[in-house]
Amino acid sequence: MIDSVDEALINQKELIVSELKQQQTPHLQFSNELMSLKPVDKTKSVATSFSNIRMFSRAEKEEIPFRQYKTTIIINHHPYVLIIRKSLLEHDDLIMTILLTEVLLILLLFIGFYFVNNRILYQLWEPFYQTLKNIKQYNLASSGIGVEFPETDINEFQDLNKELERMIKKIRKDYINLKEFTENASHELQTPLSVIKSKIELIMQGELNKEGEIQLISDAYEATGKLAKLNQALLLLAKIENNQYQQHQEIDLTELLREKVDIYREFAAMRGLKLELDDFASVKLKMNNYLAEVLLNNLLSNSIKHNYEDGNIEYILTDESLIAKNTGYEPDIQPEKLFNRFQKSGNSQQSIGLGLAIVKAICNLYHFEIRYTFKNPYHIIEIKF
Amino acid sequence: MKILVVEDEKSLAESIKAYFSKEGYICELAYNYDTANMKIHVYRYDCILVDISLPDGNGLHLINELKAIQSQAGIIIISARDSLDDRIKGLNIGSDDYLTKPFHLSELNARLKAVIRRKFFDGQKEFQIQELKIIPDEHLAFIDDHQLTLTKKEYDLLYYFMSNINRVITKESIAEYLWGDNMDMADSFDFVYAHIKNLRKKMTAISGKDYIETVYGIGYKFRLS
Repeated sequence: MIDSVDEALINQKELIVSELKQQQTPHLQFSNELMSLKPVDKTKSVATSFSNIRMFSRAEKEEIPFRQYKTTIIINHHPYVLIIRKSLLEHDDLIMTILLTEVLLILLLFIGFYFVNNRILYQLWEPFYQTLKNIKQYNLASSGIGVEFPETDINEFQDLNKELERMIKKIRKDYINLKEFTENASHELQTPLSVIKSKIELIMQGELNKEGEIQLISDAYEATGKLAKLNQALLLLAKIENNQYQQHQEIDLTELLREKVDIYREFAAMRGLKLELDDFASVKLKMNNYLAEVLLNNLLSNSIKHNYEDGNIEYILTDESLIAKNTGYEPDIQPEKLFNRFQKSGNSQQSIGLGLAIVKAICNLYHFEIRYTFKNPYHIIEIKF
Repeated sequence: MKILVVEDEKSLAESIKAYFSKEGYICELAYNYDTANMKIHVYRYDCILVDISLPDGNGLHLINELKAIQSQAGIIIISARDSLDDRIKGLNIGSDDYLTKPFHLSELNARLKAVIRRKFFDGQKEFQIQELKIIPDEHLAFIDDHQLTLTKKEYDLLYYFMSNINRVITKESIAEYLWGDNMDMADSFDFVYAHIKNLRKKMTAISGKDYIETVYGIGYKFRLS
């Protein structure tokens, strides 16, 4: 933009110079808004320069930008300083107009694009969103054999639907197999365990004379009992994780907790533990009854097990959460590993180490948030519903 | 008393038979559905122990069959399936009790006796062995007509002992009988010990006899001469 103005100024200068040269008696000194010419000393020639200035314009009646061209010209062997100015105002106006039109055009284009795109994309992706919706609604445990996908003309989506259908069928089959395996493992393992247990019991009924013999038998019996419990706990865990507890009903957690606390109070008392319960009138949750019982059983027995003589246990139940607090020695395992399977802290050889893993699995099933913290001397497990 | 054990695991069935024979029961075994079905149609039993999963059929059908022929026998399901559904299903179609494997023989014995008592001694509300008497409906216990003042757990304990007279009873089976399978307490045996101590004290105070003998390392034996 400025370049073209500069060029115009140079042209004008050439014009002026040739005009002045043709005149017999040129008017060699004048000055106005757009042009000025005055003689200078030979020694003080001025360098040619372009500059932007602002000055008052009589035509516009305000200060406006000008482009100024200053140069020295020689007429009749005398140097003169020639200053030519050109208003930049009309250029600014032009730029503004062009800019405005362009912005408007682009805006219109974008709006048009947006609507057309939306429309096309919607129509194009519609089968995809339908597929997505169907997948979201699919529940491995409760839904039937497969998912119905919508018919579509788009090859890619046809492929996608076909593959998804195949995958879901396969997953479903594996799931059923796993379920059956769980059931079978349960039966197959419990039966031989029953046999061992019953045989040992029969041996015990006979005359055991040697003290060593009694010890052997009683150790074997105890180990069998532990094995049976371990097997049951593992199966329970597998069943929870396979989402096999489907019957959820509204249960009154407050009532259940009171019931359980009454049972466990006896055990707590025997270890000299104080068991306090602070609950709200009635906290209702939609849960499987059996799992709710297991959850509370495991928490309570955990609170008693990992405690010390004359310690404290406090349970706080509100609409939002259940907080289980109990005194105990500082744990020697990291808090985040506490809910892992077979994590035991050193002082409890007896426990099988699945109690809290089961608690965690139940919480996961119902999307409860569970957190463990240790604030000396309290172990705190908080479950947010 | 005639009992039919329907259990496909032969050695478990044998164990049950051995235990019950000492109680003076006549115990017959069926290792599969067909044999069991044949037996219940031919003979009369006082109680039937049924495993649900049999190689050639479902134990639950056997119960339906028993109901169809209007059998008066008590029915106890013994199953490895411990889900609540199975339990409820079993009880709904008419079984009297449900025991999950692996169980203690002494517990099976106690349950069997309870079922038989409910079924066949309806008029007779008492359960008496020599000088000991229990009235189950009212949770009362007597020694020679002197009433024992027992807590709920002590009463349960005495009932369990009286169902397994002169038998070695393990502390594990006592803990499970008193608190159920969900009890996962490391030191539950201490609790068993505490209850036994109290029961023993109360019984000795009345009769001057110590009925409960400690079998070192294993459990207890309830002695009646």
